[in-house]
Amino acid sequence: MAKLLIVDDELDVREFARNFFRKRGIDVSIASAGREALDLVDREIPDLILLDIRMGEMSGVDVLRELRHRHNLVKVVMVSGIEEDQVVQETTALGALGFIHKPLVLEELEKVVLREFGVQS
Amino acid sequence: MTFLKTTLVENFYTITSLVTAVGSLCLGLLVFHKNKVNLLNQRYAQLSLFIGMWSLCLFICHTTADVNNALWWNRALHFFSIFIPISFYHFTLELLDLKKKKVMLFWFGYAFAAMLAMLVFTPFLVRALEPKFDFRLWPVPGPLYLPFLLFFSFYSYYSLWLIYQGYRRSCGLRREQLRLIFIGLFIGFNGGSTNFAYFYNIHFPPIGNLFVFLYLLFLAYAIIKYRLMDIKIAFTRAGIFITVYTLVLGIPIWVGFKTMGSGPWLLPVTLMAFLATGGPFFYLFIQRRAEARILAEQRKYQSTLRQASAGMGRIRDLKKLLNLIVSILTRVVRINHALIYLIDREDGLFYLSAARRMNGGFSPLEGLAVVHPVVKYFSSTDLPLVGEEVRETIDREKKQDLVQVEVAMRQLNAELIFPVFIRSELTAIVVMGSKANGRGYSEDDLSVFSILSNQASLAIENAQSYEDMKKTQEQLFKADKMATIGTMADGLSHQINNRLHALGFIASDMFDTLKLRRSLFVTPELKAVADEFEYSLSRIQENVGRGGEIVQGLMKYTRKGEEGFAPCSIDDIIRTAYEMAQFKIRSSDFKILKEYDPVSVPKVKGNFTQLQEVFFNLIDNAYDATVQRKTELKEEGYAGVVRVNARVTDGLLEIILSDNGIGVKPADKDKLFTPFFTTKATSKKGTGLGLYVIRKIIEDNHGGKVEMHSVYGQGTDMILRLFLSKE
Repeated sequence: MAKLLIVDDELDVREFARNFFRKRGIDVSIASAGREALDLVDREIPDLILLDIRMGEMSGVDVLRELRHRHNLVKVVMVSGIEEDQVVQETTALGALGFIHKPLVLEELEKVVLREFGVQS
Repeated sequence: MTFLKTTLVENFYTITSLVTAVGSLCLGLLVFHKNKVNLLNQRYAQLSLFIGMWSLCLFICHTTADVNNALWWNRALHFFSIFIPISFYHFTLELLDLKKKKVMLFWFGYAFAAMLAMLVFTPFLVRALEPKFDFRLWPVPGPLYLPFLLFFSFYSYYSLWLIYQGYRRSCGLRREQLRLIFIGLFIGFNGGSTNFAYFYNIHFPPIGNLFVFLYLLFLAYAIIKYRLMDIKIAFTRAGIFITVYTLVLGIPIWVGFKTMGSGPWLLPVTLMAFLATGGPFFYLFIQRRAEARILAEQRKYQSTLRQASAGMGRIRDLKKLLNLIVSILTRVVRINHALIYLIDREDGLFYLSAARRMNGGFSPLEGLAVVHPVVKYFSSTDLPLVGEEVRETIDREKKQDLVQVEVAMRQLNAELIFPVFIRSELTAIVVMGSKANGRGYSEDDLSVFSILSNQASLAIENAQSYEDMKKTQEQLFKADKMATIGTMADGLSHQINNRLHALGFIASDMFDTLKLRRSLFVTPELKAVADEFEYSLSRIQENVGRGGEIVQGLMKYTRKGEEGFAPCSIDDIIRTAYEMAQFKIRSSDFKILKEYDPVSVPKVKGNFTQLQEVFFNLIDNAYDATVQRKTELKEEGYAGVVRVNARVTDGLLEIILSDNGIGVKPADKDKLFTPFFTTKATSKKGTGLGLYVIRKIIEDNHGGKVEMHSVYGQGTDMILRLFLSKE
C-alpha cells in the first residue's frame, strides 16, 4: 500500500488531509514539525511527502535539505502559502517535485498525490 | 529819471536769473523741509540758497534803473556769489563723505570767503558799474576780483573733480546718482562762469547763465529717480510745479520788460507772481483743513476700521474671520451689504464664503468663475474697482471690457470691490454695496480699505495655514494609524489565513465524505439532510475562500528588500497584465491604447510579478470604472478606454494610465488607498485592497511613487514613478 507522509504544523490540516486520503485507501502518517517528520521518514519510509514550508522551528526547506543530506531521495511535494522565487529555486534544485499552493484544495491535492502514486505503481 | 535802452542779451540774462532764483530757492527749501536733520539735505539747501540769492540779486540789479541802487545790488550778489564755491565744496565733502580728510582746505575756504564777504561792500571787489558791450551796466573789477575769481574757480573745479573721481570709483545706484550730479553741476558751473568773461574784456555774453538752472533739474532728477537725499516721489509734483510756475510767471515778466522796460509795474507783478505761486499751497492747506472738519465722521470710522483690522490676525477660524470682516464693513462703514468670495485652490473658483446684508431681498451669486469679468479684471491689476470710476471711464473711453465689469458689478450690487492678494495670488474678493447714507467712496476710504485688504490677506493666510496644519496633523495621525494597522495586518493575516485554511479544509473533507457516502442516505428525509449539509458546506467553503483571498491580498506583498529585482520592460508588464485582465474584460468596447514607444522606453528596476500585479489591478480598476460610467451615466456612443503613457522625468520612469471611467468622488479620494475601502458597484468582486496593494508594492517595495488625479464623471489618471534600471 502506498505510504503518504503529511507534514504540517496545522493540526486540522494534517488530520483532515489524513482523513481524506484514508478514505481513498492510502496509508497516511502525519507529523507536526520538521524533527518529527525526519524521525518518521527513517522508520516508515514513505512513498511521498507533502511538506509544508512555513513551520515553527524547522522549515520545510530545512527538512528537505536534511533529507537530501542523508541521501534520502524520497519524493517531496512542497506546500506553501507564499511562493518566493528563491525558495522555488532552492527546492527545485533539491529535487522537490512541485508546489501546492495554500489554501489547499482537496481535489487538487488528490490529483497531485494520485499522479505521483500512479507513476510509482 | 532816464532809462537806458535794454538789449536782447540783457533781457535774456535777466529772465534766466529770475528762473534760476525762484527755482533754486524753492528747491533748496523743499529739500531742507523734507529732511531737516540730514546733513546732505542741509548742504544742498545751503548751496541752493546762495545760488538762489545770487541769482535774485542779479535779477534785481539788472532791473533797477538807479545806478547807485544797482551797484548796491551788484555788491550784494557778489556777497552770495562768494559763498557758492565753498558751499559747493562743503556739499561735495558731505556727498562723498570726505569731510574728515579735507579739514584744512575746508576751513581755509570758509575763512577766505568770510574775509572777501567782509570787503564786498568796499570798492576792492566791485569798483563801479558802467556800460559794457550789450549791457547797460556791468561791474568794474577791483583789486580783489582776481583772487575772488581764482578762489571761485579752484573750489568749484576741485569739487567737480572730486565728484568725478567719486563717480569713477562707485557702482550701481550710487554711480548713477553721482553721474547726474556731476553732469548737472558741470553744466551749471560752466554756464555760470560765462559771467566772468566781460570782466576781462572778452566779448562773450553770459548766455551760459541759463544753464545754471539746468543743474537744478539734474539734481532734482537724481533726487527723484535715484532716491538721493531721502526724498520720495511726492517730490515730483513739487519739482514740476516749480518749473512750470517759474516759466509761466517768467515769460510774462520778460514780455513786460520787452515792451515796457523796468518800471513801477514790476513790484505788483512780482508780488502777484509770488502770491500766485504760493496760492495753490494755501488753497490746499485750507482745503485739507475744511475736509478734516467735514470728514471727521468718516475719519472716525476709518480709525475704527484700522483698529478692527489689526485684531483680525488673532482669529484662526477662517469662517469666523471672514464673517468678522463683513460684519466690520457693514457695521462700521454702514454699507448695505458686504460679501467675500474666497478661492478654492482645488478648482480655482471663488465661492461666496461670507455675506452680510443690512436689508434683505438680494441674493448674491454663489461663486465666481475664473472667466467672471471681475476675476479677470483683478488678474491684471490690484487696484480696487470703484463703481463711480468704472462708469465714468466707460462714458469717457467706451471701453468694452469695462462694460462687462460694470454689468457684473451691478449683478453683485457692488459699489466697491477690492481684491485680496496673498503672495501676489488673488485669494479673495471683497464686494461692498453702496453706503447707507448714499455717499460715494472717497480716496481716503480706499486707502483705509487697502490697509484692511492687506490685514485681511495676512489674517486669511494665517487662518488657512492653521487649517492646513490641522489637516496635516489629522492626516499624519491617520497615516500613523494606517502604519500600525499595516504591521498588525501582516502578523495577523498569517494566523487568520491558517485558521481559514483549516476551516476550508475541514469543510472540503466533510463534503468529500458526504459525496463518497451518498449511497447511505436512502430515505427522502436522509437525502434532504445530506442536501442541506452539502449546501451549508458549500457556503462555508465560499466564505472561507473569500476570506482567504482578502488575507492573501494583504500578505502577498509585505516583503521588502530587493529579492527578485531585475530590469523589467514596462511594455512586457502591461502586455501580460492586460492578457490576465482579458479573462474578466467582457466588453469589446474597452480598449487599452499604448501611447508610448515600446522601444525607446527604458527598463525599470523592479519585481516583474509584483509589477504585473500592480498593472493588472490598475487595468482592472480602469475597466470597472468604465463599466460603471456606462451603466450609471448611459451616455450615447461612450466607449471605455485607458491610455498609457510613459516618459522619463528626473531619472524616474513616469507611467500614466488615464481612463475615461466614472472617476472618484472628491469625498472618496482620501480613502481610496485605505485597505478594505471600495467604491466599486460590483463590490462583491472588490476586496478593497487593489490600491492599497499597489501603493505597498510601488512605494514600500520599489521606493517609487503613486499618485491619483480624478474628476468624477470624467475619468482618472494614475501616475506611477519607478526607478530606472541601471543595467
